[in-house]
Amino acid sequence: MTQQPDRITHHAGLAALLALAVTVAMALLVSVPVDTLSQLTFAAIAVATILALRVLGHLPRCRLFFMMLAAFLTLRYVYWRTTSTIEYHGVADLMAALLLYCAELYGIVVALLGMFVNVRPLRRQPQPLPADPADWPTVDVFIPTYNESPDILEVTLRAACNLHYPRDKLRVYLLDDGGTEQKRGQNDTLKAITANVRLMQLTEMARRHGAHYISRERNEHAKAGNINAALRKSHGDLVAIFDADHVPTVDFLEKTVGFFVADPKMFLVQTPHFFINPDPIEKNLQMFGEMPSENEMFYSVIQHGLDFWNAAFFCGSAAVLRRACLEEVGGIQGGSITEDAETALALHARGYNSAYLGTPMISGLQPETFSGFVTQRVRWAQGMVQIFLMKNPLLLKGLTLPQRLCYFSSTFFWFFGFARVMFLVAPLAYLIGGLHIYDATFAEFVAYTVPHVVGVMLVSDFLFGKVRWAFVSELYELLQSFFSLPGIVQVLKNPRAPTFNVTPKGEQLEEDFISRLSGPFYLVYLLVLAGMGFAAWRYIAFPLERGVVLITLAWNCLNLLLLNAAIGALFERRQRRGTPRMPADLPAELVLYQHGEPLECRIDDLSATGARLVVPPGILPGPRTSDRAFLAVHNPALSRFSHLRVKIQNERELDDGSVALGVAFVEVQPVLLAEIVALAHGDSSRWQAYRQSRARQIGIGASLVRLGWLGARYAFDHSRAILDIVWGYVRDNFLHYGGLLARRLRRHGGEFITWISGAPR
Amino acid sequence: MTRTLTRHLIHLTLALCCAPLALAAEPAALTASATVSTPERAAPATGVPLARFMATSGPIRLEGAAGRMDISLPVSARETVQHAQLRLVATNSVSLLGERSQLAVRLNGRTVVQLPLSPRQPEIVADIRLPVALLKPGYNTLSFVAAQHYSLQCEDPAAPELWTEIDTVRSTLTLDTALKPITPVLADLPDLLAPTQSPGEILNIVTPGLPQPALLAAGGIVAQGAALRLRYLPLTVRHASAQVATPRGAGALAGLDTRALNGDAVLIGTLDALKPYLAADVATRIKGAFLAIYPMPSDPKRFVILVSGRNDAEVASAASAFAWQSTPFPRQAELNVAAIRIPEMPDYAAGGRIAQPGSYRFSDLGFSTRSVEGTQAQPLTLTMSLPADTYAPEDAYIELALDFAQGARMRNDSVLNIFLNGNFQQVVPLDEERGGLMQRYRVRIPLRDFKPGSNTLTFSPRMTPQQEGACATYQTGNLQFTLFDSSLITLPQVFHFTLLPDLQRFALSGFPYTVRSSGEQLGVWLASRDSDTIAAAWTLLGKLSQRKSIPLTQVRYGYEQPAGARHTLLLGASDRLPVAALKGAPWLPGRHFTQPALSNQALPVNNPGWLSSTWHWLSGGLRTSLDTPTIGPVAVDGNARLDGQLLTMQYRSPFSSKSTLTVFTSDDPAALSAGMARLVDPRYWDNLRGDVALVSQDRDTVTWQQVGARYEYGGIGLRDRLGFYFSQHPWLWFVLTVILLVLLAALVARLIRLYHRRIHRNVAEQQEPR
Repeated sequence: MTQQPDRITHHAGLAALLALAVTVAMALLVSVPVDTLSQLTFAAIAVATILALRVLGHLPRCRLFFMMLAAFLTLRYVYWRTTSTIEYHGVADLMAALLLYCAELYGIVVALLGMFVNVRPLRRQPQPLPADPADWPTVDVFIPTYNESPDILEVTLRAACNLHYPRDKLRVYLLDDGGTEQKRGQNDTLKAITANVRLMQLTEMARRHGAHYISRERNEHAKAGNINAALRKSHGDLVAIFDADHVPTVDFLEKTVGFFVADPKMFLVQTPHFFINPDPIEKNLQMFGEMPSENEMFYSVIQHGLDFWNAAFFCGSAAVLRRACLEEVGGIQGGSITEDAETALALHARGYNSAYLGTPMISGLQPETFSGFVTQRVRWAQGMVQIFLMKNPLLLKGLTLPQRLCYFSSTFFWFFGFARVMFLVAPLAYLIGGLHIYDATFAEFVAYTVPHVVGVMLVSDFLFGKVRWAFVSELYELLQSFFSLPGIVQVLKNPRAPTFNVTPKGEQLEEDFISRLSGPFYLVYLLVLAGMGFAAWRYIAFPLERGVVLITLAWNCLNLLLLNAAIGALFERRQRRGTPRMPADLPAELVLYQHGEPLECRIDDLSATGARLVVPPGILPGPRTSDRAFLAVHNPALSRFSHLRVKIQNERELDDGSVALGVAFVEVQPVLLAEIVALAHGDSSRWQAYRQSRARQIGIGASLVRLGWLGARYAFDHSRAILDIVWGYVRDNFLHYGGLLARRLRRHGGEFITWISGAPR
Repeated sequence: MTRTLTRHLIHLTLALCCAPLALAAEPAALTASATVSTPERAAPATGVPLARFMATSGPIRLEGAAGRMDISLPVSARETVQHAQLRLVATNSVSLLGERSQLAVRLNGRTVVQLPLSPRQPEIVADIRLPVALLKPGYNTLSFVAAQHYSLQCEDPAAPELWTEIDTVRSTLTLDTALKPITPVLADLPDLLAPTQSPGEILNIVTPGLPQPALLAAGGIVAQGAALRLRYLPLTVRHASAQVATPRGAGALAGLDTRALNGDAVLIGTLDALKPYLAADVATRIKGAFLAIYPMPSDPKRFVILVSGRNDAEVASAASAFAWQSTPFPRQAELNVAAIRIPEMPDYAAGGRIAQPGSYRFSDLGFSTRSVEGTQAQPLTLTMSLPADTYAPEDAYIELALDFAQGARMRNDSVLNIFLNGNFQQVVPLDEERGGLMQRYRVRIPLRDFKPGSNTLTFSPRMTPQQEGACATYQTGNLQFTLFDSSLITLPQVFHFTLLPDLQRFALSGFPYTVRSSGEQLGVWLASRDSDTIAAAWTLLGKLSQRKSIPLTQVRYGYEQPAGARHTLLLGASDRLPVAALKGAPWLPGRHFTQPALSNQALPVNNPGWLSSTWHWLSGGLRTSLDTPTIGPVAVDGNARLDGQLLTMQYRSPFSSKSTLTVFTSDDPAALSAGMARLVDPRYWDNLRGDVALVSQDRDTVTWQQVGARYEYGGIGLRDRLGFYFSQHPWLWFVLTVILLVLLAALVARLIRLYHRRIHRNVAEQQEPR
């Protein structure tokens, strides 16, 4: 038995040696100085080969070759870009050129690391638990909260109590940082009363659902401190952590705890964060449900890739950790404001293992407003840059080389703000400022840059096309960059400066409005538009630079397209429903009060507060005397029928004659709440099916067109709203000052006419 | 005795190409230097067309209100000019105003004659006697200065009707000169052997009997020393065996009969061998390497240089001392050379050449700070030379960092045009309203636009006054431009890699024979032991040293195949050439020859097609290949003889695959010697091309063709060699890359599988497609 690992090591060593030799040869080919025409010929053949493999459907089979060929084109570009395109034309030109070069290098490093990370994603099946429940470890469920509303918390708490796990081995804790002694004793009386009320409310709620309320003395170290305080008051072998709005499905522990039993060195099992509401950009561009959610790329592909290299990391929630491991490193780490990734890094460095299970088993909420979204993302960016600076994975002891590269990729990625701003400003530096920042001819651009860009896009589309449409990343990064960049600069100046800001969730937006963060985008938008004018001028005035002008103009056009979409996304759409409904497809029976006959129907969408029912044509009785009914539905999470009381709130006939009924759950007692929560949030297969339904690839061109169209449409709405505001302002002022003038004229009209006519008084 | 010499003046640019050393020594002479060459010494005293003195062909056009043209007249320090006459044939514009228009001829700045330019008699024919007192040894400036007006009132000085045209073919110059008696010392050598001397002079190298290899080598060095002093003037060497004078005469060379020597001479040999020809006291003074100069016993206007020593090594040292001497020192007739230490020369070293990457000052390349002014400012010229085998990658640039000053208040369309070998390359706007000094102004020129060998960078300021027009009052004194010799030219990393055979590269710099700067890689193989073949070899070596601008002192000479893998020059009559050496030769004299199927000019050009032409348009024209395809020649086997023609052919040496063999042959040794004398004339030498070249007595140019197989020479490192091949075969590059990528992918896949087996052995995975 011991010979097998030896043989594996021997074979690996041999293969690695050969691979190293071939890599050296490839490095030689990468740096071969050839004529531009030959480079173009080579690149054209390479791109044609990739496209042929793609069209013929051979890419999955040739995955490695395809990625390497694209990487080869990229490295050729890097070699040429480094050796041939940076010239001194003046201090300002050189500075701008170097900044752009660094931004490009950033993008290339991230792309190459992405290829490495995703070279062979590992998609695990759930690890079964031992047959004898006595062998199962005890689990403490932590639900840390700070200021979330009790309504949101109750659903999560109830779902935690619904978890399928032996009662004697499961304890659920509500970790409240909103009711600490510090909060309750603060000088602001109103806030102190609110904290006291919160404590009482949540204590009662926990007691009602059979959970435990924990609070602490002082609010130190934010979420990490909250969890660490709870660790000292609990004793379970494992700790499952759910954010306040992350509602677990009932099978969460059944599917995750087995990994800990199978591997004593397992410290973490992470599962995806699955969101049931759109993020503000999806919402404002009306894309939710049509395209994959933004986080899908990370949770559907990248975490699987990280898992292969034993580098899947803790994401703060929807995860199970081993208490002993946590205690070994002093609990959740608090050096950065992304305590989750930092903790995983520390434990990986100690040789522990992690696993990522790709089944979505929580349903959560995303921030509803763009400002909330930015708050969350700036925190992530700052936290990851803190880790990059203070615990750089390339230098940290104990990590394997793949783990170093994976963590480096995960932390380095967050510098995108710098690159994105540079890519936005660079064409303007030439078009408006006349700076020479990229010394290349049109021919060289076609021979080196275009193949590199095409190669990277094809790889990205291949790896992530189903979960992230082309240019969507660019849009999200663009929207965050103006805020994350100052945040990163702040960290660079003082790595310990950032503080933990809680992401606001569950907000309700009563009406459309323009995001208060739109200012910088207006400025850049106007500059990009000006750049178009300058491009036209340069095209006419500098005939020798026409090739460069056209390239820069195309670049500027892409920026304009992205900015259009960004402007559209900054026009916040109203959202009245606090608990969003998610699609469902459940057979049910509806029994109307004072009718008695069960009516067959289907539940079309569902939340913890209500549902939409579709009743087949012709069976719904005519005038009804009551809006109340019973709903009987098979609850897949509990494997039994649930009987719920509902109130019909609206009714609408659909095109096929069926009737859609909007119902709200009423008379919800704690026991009934367990049924509803299990029905609405307890079935992981429903989330899985929904996620898969969104995962579709539309191609690079279609994605660009779609984004362009949506951007134009919603940017138009945005600009119309601006015009409305301006018009309202003008109208109000006109009416105000017009009225004043009219009154004055009425009062002094005669004198005025005399004065105008010059007649003597 | 009075002699009349007809001077055949060489094209200025050819002179510049020939003599890089001259750049440093006499830059002023560069702009209008000229020299003389004629094969016929007894030519009638007819005038030489002015065109022979000029750098460009065609008539001289003097344009504008103040037109001017200078040409240079060389006069040897050894000669006395007895009579000089200029026949001027010119035509002026009929629109000129006779009262105010005139043409002045000036010699060295002194006005010799003024000729009215009349619209009624626009044809001018004038015989002008040039005052011989104004002619000084060296280079004299003959100026044609035209003052041309069309109105007594204000006028446009650039009006197109203001012109006078001098016919440079019908205008001639006649110089009657006579040699002066001399009492030479070694310090006189730069004057006695100078490019201003009469052309067609023959240098006799006299040896006691037929020389053995060591003496051949010393003779070669002496020939090079003499040729280097003549800079660009072709030198014909003749070999003669020393004859004992009967009866013995007087003087240092009392025993040497020089009556048969028609020209200056060098007597060379060991002391023992030369004793019969030397005076006894001279022989006693030879105590080592010995260099001396004496009047020729039979002609006091001629000299004999004595190169001797007690053994062959000392003779070689004396020859080297002669070859390296360039200053007028010492002022004595005899010199015992104890030792000569020659500095280590880097490869490719030559005057005015930049071979190593780095920055060079213009002053290092013979350029001196110069100022020009006015609307018709003279262009400023920098000549530099690149190694003949320079291989330039596409992205390599030569960078100029110009230091210049410009005047103030010039119109903002004033520019400095930069030309490379006559082709416009770059422009620098002179648009500083307040004028000023510009330092390190950077200009880049693709290295590929430079040619191997000599290149000329021309800086042509075009300055315009702010006010201009017929009646406008304006001044041109502010139109000033100075280019400083502190300007830099930066050579990037270049590679030495080319395809051979290529007689053009051989003619440019003696490539590949002169890569090693002292000639360590060069062997001269004489196919027969006769004076004519020896003379041909020495004449050739003289020419090569002129191209190199330093003597090649380590050349190995012999009558057998040179040992080692030396590049070889083989000289001999066609019937004496060793058969083994002709293996692989493109022609076999008397047995086999070739001729082109299509003339070089008529090679069909492939239709590039839409894609290629579009690409060409986009890229601004890219050159991708060092070599171009040609159509093979027609091969003829027959008993064709050379009939006095000199055949030059170059091919890969049959004795060493890394060496090159160049053969110079003719029907007999006399024809070989005469052919070589013609070949070194720039009219032939500078037109050498291909791998086979024929010089005929009845033709003014070389007939050449490229018929043999080409082979690579030089090294550019693996990476650049790959770049060279892949530039020509991108498909090959792609295939190789794909093969390596597939291999790498397979190996990485294997590594991933092993990693998976080790780390995730017990992990159950989902079966959904990745």
